[in-house]
Amino acid sequence: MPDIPPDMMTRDRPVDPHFADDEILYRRFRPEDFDGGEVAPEAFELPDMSVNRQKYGPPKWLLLDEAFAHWGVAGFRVEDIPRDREMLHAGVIAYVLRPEHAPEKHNYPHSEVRIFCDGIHICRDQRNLHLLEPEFHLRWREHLSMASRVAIPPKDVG
Amino acid sequence: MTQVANTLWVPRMAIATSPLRPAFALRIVWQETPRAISDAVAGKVPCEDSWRELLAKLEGFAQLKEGWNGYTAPPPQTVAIQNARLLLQAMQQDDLRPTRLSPSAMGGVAITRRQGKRKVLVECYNDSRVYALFSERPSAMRVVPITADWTAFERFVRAMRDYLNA
Repeated sequence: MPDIPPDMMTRDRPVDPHFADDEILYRRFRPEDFDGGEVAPEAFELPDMSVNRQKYGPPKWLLLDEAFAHWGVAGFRVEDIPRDREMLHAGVIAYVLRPEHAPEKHNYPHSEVRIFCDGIHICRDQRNLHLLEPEFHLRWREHLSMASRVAIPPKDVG
Repeated sequence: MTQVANTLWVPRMAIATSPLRPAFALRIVWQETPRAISDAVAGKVPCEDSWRELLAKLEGFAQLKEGWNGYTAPPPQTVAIQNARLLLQAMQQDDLRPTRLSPSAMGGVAITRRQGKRKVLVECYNDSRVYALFSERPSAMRVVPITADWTAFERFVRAMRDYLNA
């Protein structure tokens, strides 16, 4: 277990639901996922994609665990998601995405990019992953791959 | 020139010399690399070894554990690996080597061929579905489902080649 910076601990802090459009969300990625100067779409996922908020911590906190010492960190803006905008898939299925703050005991900045279909939260626990169409998430992940910037490059990539 | 087991060997230089000192006559013969390998080195034809390495890498994905991506991604399942193997074989048949082979955080295997501003990304999912993204920078993209069988993969590889002008 790495030394956790005191500011990273949640303690008794509340959930902060307010995200600015220009706030950056960080996600770590494997060195192998750094492809042609970009973070490959395979590094991004739905539903409930884990990220850390810039507002509550630097990107290096994502690499504190020794297992991730050589990994990289990518960042994208909240407006790149984009949040709370209804996106029609095939003209009939309405998807909405948004970031939600989901603090963990040792990781207060932790958040998730969540997806809703006609108001229903798609997630593994609800056993409704069939609502998430590959046509949609492939496009979205490619979009995010293009919008992301490398905050910390992986160490073993020249 | 000699022909050995359908492989063409071309002597570059052959010397039998030194008539003054026949006891030390020396014959030096260099031979060109077999054509298939030299073409592969020149980038014309993918080397068999590199395809074998790709297939071995693919089989290695079966050893991944849940959370291999540092979060909660499921490991690629057998059906995803089987479909990816079949697609790789179709690509090998058409000499169209992927530029990237990776597990996907969505659960499955991703195969990418990038060429200039264009790329084709195929994902073989753990639920046996296969989808392909055709993408051109900065923002043009389309996604199509692919039937996971040899005939459809052969047809798809031709479409991939046409799209990439490969």
